[in-house]
Amino acid sequence: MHKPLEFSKITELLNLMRTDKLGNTCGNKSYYYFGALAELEEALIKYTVSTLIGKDFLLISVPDILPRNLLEGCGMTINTDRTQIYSLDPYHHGHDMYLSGTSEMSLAGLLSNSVHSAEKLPLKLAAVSRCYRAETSNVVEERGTYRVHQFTKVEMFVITKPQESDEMLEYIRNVQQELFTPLGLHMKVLDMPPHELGAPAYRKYDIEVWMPGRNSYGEISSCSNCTDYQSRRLHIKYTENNQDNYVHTLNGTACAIPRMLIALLETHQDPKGKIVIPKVLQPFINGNTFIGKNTQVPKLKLRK
Amino acid sequence: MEVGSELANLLKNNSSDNNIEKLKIQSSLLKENIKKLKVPFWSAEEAAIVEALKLPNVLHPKTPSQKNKVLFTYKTVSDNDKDHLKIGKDNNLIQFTNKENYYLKGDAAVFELGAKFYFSKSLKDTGFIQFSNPDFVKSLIIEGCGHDHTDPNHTFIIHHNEDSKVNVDNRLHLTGGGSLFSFFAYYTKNVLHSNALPLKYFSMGRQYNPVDNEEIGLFNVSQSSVISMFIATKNIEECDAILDETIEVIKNIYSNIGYPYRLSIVTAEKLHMWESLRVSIEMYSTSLKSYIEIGNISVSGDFISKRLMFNYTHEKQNKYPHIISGTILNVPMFLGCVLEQNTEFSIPQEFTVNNWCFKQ
Repeated sequence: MHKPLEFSKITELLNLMRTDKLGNTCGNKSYYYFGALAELEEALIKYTVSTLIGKDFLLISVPDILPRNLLEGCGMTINTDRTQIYSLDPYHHGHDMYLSGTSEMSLAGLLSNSVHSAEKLPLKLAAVSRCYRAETSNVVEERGTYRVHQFTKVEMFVITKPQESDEMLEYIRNVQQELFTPLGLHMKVLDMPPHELGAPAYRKYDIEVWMPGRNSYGEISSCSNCTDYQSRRLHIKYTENNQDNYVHTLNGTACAIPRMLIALLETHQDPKGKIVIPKVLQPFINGNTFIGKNTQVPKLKLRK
Repeated sequence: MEVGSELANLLKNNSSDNNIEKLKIQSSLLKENIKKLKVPFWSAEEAAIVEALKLPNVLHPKTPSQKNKVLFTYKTVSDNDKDHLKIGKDNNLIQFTNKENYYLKGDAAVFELGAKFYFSKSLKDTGFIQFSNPDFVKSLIIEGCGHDHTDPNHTFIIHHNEDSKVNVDNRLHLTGGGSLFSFFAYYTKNVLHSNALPLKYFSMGRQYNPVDNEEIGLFNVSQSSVISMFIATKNIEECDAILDETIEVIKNIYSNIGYPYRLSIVTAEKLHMWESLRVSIEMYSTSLKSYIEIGNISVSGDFISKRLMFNYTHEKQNKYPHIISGTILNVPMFLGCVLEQNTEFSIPQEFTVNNWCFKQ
């Protein structure tokens, strides 16, 4: 019986990623994907975004540097020194330049101070963005590229009338299951208890998938109903029968690249060392059916 | 040293010469002096080397001195009075707050992704390898690539919120995975064998640049989606040959989309200190009434390779690769010019969602 390998081992054998000795040049926990792994990242973005556009999500390209009040309006708490959030040097670049941890914040920002007519709701937005997270972790379960400081993510963000948000959360969860099921991943959905929810969330589902190399489940996605927490702070309203009211906001991960790649490679490794590409992704990666060893990027050798 | 050996001699001969004491004192004084001199000597050396590192790259023989040399023009531009920001707002394609904060909406966002995917496919078809790079680099990479790492107008410097003391020469910089910095961060202190060359890579990613220009619109933003290219060649001859090939590749990619553009070699005074030649990919902006650079191809030779110790071995000798790099597509610049074309804005066929997947 073949023992499944971990992502870091697979990518080393197939020469698809570098994480080694980057602390002095890029900072710790940095990584480069190359060859077919970088192509697979692009394929996942194409697959996810084209599916969402097909479901009438409006695609938005968002800024990654955001003002503090927007982050706080979304429910982030910003401490003065040690924080989960990166910011630009206040002495050089001004005091209000924070790096976005998720496009949920920038999408909420796009809608701040807006009033929508009821018949235009729900408004479903999607974005592909870079996400920056300063938090570090030393626990062994989060080794490798499981928890990183920067990554690409496709995000969904929806505003609804208050009475429709419960139903919308189920819709978002369904979209996530529709996206992940054809990728051949073994999935479980968790209805999260209140103490696991962030301040703005009223209800939250996590989706975990089995990562055979790690021999554990890992969270690859979540979706939350934030009811009117964000809309009251950011003034997002709708109007119906000449009355203004606050909308409900919801968000969900459509694809967070690093963990999705871990799940895909660990699930679809074959005993000979190749990676089988799920059928639905093949059209987005030039019709290729598998990933083999990359011989085009030279193996890393550093000077002493 | 002489004092030392004389002292050793005397000690060996066991003489009770009072010279011994004298020499001992002399020896310790000398040692102390050397110690004291080391510090100013080091700082003198540091000052001299840092100054020497400010010397710019040598110019490529093809770099013109008087005026830009136009290499190629595709279609002719016709003038009008369109302004991309107004069109963007009127058509609900752009929401612009300031240079750090703008949104592309609907078809403009599809255009951005579609353009990147089209370039990505075209480059892979011509043998380029795809990379997905980190967005941060340390100060030494900024300095090695010929920029001032302490100057906040050159790069965004990340706030230092560690417990350790701030060291100006060891900061984190937000430059983006689509910047030349992240490719060089990969190859810093790297050793290759000569038969690995040439390398032809590209990445699809962000580029973050502090801009101090007052002008408002997509031509002056801090965050851009880009396609960045990195080519490492063995020597000047191979570098020049691959430059010509690359120009042809770029011509095909742009001509196939169909918008008017031109390629020019820029004059020496427009070059960055690390460049020896730059081919500028230009489109006409009707709001600015001038051509603007929407992409480029730069030759830096072995200038940065030497500074960041990227080398290869050939017949047991250490050599430095000659580099061609470039932001071959800057999406906001490109989109700005496309919105100012004579025809109504629509997503080019090559960029549409239908064309994101492979067709048999």
